Amino acid sequence: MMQKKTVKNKNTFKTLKRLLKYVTSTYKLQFVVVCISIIVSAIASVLGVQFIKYLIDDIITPLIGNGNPDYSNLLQAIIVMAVIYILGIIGTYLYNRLMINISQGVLKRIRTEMFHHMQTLPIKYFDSHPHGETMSTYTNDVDTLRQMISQSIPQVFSCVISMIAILFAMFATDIYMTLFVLVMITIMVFVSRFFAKRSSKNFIAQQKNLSIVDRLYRRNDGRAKSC
Amino acid sequence: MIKKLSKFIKEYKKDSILTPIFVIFEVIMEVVIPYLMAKIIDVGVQNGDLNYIFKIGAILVVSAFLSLAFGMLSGRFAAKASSGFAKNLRKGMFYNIQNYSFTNIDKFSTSSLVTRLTTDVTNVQMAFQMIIRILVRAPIMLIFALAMAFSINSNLAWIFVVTMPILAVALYFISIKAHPYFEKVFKKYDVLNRVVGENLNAIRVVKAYNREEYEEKKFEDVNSKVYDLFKKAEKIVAFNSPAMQLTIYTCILLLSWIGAKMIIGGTMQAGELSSIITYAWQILSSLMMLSFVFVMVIIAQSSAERIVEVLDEESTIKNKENPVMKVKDGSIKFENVSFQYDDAKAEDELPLEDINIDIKSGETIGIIGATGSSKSTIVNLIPRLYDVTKGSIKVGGVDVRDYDIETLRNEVAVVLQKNVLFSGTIKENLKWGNKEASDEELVRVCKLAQADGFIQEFPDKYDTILDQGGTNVSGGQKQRLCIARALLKKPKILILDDSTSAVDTKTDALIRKAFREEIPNTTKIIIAQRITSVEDADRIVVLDDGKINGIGTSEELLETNEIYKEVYESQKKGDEDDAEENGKE
Repeated sequence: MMQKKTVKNKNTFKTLKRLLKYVTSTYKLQFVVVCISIIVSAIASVLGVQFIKYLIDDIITPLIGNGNPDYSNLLQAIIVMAVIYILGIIGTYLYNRLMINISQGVLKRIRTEMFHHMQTLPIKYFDSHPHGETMSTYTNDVDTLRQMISQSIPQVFSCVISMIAILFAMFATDIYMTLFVLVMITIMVFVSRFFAKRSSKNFIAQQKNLSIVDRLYRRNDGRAKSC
Repeated sequence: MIKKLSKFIKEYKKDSILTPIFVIFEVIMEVVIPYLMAKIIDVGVQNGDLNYIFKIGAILVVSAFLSLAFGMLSGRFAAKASSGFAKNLRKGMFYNIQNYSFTNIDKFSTSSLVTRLTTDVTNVQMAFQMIIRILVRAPIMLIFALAMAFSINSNLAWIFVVTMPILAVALYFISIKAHPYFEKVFKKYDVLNRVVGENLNAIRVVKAYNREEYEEKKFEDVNSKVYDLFKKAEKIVAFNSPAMQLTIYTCILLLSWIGAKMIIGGTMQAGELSSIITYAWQILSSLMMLSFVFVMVIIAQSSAERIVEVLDEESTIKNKENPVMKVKDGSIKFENVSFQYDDAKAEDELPLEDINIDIKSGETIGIIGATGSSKSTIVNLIPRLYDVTKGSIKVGGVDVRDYDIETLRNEVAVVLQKNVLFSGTIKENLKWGNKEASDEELVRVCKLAQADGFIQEFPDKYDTILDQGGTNVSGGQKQRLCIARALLKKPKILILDDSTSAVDTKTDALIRKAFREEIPNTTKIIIAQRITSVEDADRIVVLDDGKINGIGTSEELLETNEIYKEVYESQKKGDEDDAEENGKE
């Protein structure tokens, strides 16, 4: 049992690596641009939070009580921030847009290779695998992949960047507090991992069942015509 | 459309209602936590009251865990509700499809029905899950954050009220533009499915003729189209997040500029500005979530429409009110019958034109004609697989359209040219004809169909497992099993549509002999290419281009009918060599 589990985990990892290779190798340049855009977008949003602190402490506070305040510093700060935000927005658009090229391109390639490979398989394969199962790989499974590539991967990447940036900011504020938060987070991760495991198991079962529906339907269609 | 679909929530109503309730609890907890934190800092720390800090701190920890628990519960119920909903949808569609006539199925195409049952339902399922979770969570968060912002400084909060509608309009335009592309994507998905399905079904032919490259090109065409359309649709949707960010960043900059002036002017506290911006971020994150749901809903909308089409489709062949529940006998009468397929153009030739035949109960009728002479079409009309366009068909003296469909089809058994066997044992397959049939009956009909012999030779006999599509029995054996299956229904009318084509002439003759002797009261219609299969029928109908060219016994036709005579002579000549070859099978 234990052994089986590790093998499965290894396979998941292998599959993921293979998938990532598709993503990175087909569109190398675009992928690099996507990474940079995500970093820009994430940093812009983290800087946004820091900006308020800086604005209040360093710009607004000195001016309080000043009868004839000089707004030029405030204006300058806001313009700088606006530029950073615009860069962030451009970054967001760029990675969203390029990710479409990448995800759709990868999906197209996967479908092509799958079909190509299917043509080379021996008849025995088609006798032993229900047609419904094969058909649902082209639609359902590829569709799930689409979500993974175009949403999950950039999301994970963007979150990691934000996390690193936020961690830096937190450590700069208070080391012990940050450590405490990290311990709490670890506990939370364990709890949610427990649940995630269960849900992924159900998810696989669902994908399987869908192919059965498909099969049932084709079977039934046949029946309708023969009676 | 939503009303129609929501009917399918059925027994999962409880879960569908519990989900948003737990989401609300989760949001409340999330809102309470910063409030408690503020209490600790403002009251506890400032007064140096340790007791108070511990008390509120404990509540804080409990709230955090409750929030986590509520979040998980809502997730669980959402998953259950949405997959249950999807299950009911599939069931509803599947049941309705069972009522479809051939005309309905032709309209959708099989592959499209498959996509609708799988991909489209999955899309709707995911959207449903999003709606009952995120679509509840985000607006509540939004309203709460807005309310808090107003309570802090109503002048500043008006900035949100002005900018949000602009964003809403932008999102609306994005969805309006993207929706038609998604619609097209799913249509292309149908084609993709069809190409794959065809390839799978015909894989033997593809390999035998080395047509892999051609098939790949065909696939590549659809594949590229799916790719193009999907890209076009997603390109529009890609404006979603930037539009969102533009709005919120504009808000923050405006807040900073106006807020800073207010603080300096002494009308606002610095702390208030930072909390109002915190709420701005909360509003941003709920809007982000909303836009995410938005995309899913755009996609799901096209899918939902496609599902509703399947659910709404009414069978073109329906029971009349007070249908006739009993078929008197096996007599069949064609009166001026003409037939045209639904999708045919006006100038197309009629597949069947002005057919008049009177068949007595128990008679054996042979139908012969060149390919494309509508031999199969004529028999498809008897069990109402299609309805006649003009004229009428009477079975047992009653128009077929007046019968209860199930009653009629139970009495009319058709063995098709392309036979279908299912994976499972031989016994299971035969019992499709009649669930309650006893083992003795199974053997009896198999003897009639000359199938008992080869079944007994299998090591597992009637429990032999057939592969999908019956690939582990020969074509002739498959045909004989299908005949046995039809006989098990004990029909009043038995139609064999070229269903002994792979059986050797000797066995074919034995089957017909058994029919004559064992089921004399059943009307038998035999469609064949081989003249020997119909030669000994009571009467033979010669079809030519959808019209009757001649009716009569073999002897009569040989005298009077040119077509029959020609076929007869050409086949009889080669038959001697054929018989020898076939006999070896």
